[in-house]
Amino acid sequence: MAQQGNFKSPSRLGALGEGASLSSSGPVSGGKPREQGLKEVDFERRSFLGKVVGGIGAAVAISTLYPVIKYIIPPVKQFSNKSEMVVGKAAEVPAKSGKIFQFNKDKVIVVNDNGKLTACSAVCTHLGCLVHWDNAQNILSCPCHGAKYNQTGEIISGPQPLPLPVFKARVEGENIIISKA
Amino acid sequence: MAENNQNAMAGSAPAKPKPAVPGAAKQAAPGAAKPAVPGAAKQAASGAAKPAVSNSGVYKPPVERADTDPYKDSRISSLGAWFQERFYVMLPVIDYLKKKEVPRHRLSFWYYFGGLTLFFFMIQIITGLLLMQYYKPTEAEAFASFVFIQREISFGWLIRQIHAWSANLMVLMAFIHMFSTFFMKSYRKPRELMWVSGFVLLVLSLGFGFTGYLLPWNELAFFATQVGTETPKVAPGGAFLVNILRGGEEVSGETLTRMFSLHVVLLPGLLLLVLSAHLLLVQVLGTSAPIGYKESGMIKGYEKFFPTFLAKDAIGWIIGFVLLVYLAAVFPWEIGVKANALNPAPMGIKPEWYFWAQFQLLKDLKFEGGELVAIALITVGAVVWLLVPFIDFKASREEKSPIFTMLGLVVLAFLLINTWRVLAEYGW
Repeated sequence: MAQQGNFKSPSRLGALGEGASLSSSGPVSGGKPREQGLKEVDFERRSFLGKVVGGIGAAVAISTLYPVIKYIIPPVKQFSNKSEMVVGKAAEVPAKSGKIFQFNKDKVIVVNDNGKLTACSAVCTHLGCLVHWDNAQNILSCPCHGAKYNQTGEIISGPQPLPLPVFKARVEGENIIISKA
Repeated sequence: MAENNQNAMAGSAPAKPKPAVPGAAKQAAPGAAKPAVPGAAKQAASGAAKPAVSNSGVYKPPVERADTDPYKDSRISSLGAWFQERFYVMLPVIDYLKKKEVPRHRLSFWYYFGGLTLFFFMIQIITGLLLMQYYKPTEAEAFASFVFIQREISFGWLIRQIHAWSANLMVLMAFIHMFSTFFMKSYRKPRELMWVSGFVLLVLSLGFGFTGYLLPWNELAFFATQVGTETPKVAPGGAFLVNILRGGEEVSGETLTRMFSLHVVLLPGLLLLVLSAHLLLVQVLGTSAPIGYKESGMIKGYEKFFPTFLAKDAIGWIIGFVLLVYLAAVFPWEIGVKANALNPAPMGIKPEWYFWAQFQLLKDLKFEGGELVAIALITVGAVVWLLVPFIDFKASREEKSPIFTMLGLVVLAFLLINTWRVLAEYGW
């Protein structure tokens, strides 16, 4: 049968002088000290091949992983961007109460203070919990860490760094319309 | 001596010296590749620089072969040393694993198909997990999320097509693997349980295919499931089982929920357990060679499983991956229309190709009670097929077993011919 491996073994190349035994072949030939046996192995070709295979492998791996990563990243949710919109019925916000509606990308709390409607963002500027209207104290309060705002969003007390952004709310017919400030 | 399980070889064919191995190699390389040499018989290899005469009288001259030992010059990295210090109990296990060898002969090409089945299954796990990030398994949202994945998500179409195609390729590789091991009689002693666990794996894979097929909730999925779950009703107790499977009398949103839970939780759990057993058996029992090959010197050599055979396996996996991506991109599966229970079944409705043989048998046995006969035939056939290692006595004695080869050819012919008949009648 044909020679299966190690075409550069000393026995095949007919190493001079010592002449390796017929039996043993391989990078370290039988009977020879390691360094001399390794002389016949072409390391430059071997490491070049290693680098080529590694490079192609990296290219294949990246081109396989790229679609997977892109797939996992969820698509960005598109929000509308209207200057004003109908969010609900006036009856949903009776006097001395507040209710949160979705307006474009914001959550807006509409407070009915004896007929007068005010609107500001419901997202507490501390860590993002939604505030509620506390009628007893006439404040917007956040249950998470005790932030307090007045009806138009200004800070009264608490850990929050910024006031609530304001919006405009009005009643037309039986609808409540929220618009940008 | 590559047969890992020494007990199995005791009492079977008499140990013969491996022909054409230069005997001096055994002495010259002390840390050589085959330390698991049973004491007595193999020393006959020593002193053989002369040609060994095999039983068939063929002259095999001594050939100088590289006594390749991939672990000869290996050194432990510092990370490896860190583990070795703590898990030294595992060192004998790792040394044992390093010994496993795979015989090389003219039929060893077939050894790759088991690994290919595993490869396509791993692809299924990955793409399945990805699809689950966006798929909603309810009657109201299943089809909408299915369309959403393919239209809105980056490369969603690619993940879905790969998942659909890899399912088919996995079942195809499993069938090829099963028949190649059958004809090579790899099921014979001591590997009976490998055959049994392998058959269970095949049945689980077909279950995966059946349960997953409904999930897109398009017309094709709905009616294929309806037809597929209608047939078992004629068997005794079948109506009850169909009721459990369907979550009711009809295929509905309840069926979808049950198929989803089977496909994603129960079947993967069972398959991983049985697969671990199957792979463990492969490592413990080694790879079998066809009957008589060792004695007649048809084995060209033995290569190490780790890393040599695994590296060659990886070549097959890369080719399989290329084929998979080609099929996914060039022959995409349809999106279809949303399932509507009140629509009539579409013309030419048929199950997936791996069920076509049974489908054709059911159509052939159209007489009164024919369905029950078909179910009985398939069930009895499957049980006989499962028990082959326990009834093929000749193979277990390492003798040629032509009757079972004929049986395998008959079964293969039945499957191929009936599958082809469905293709001829219905088209693809």
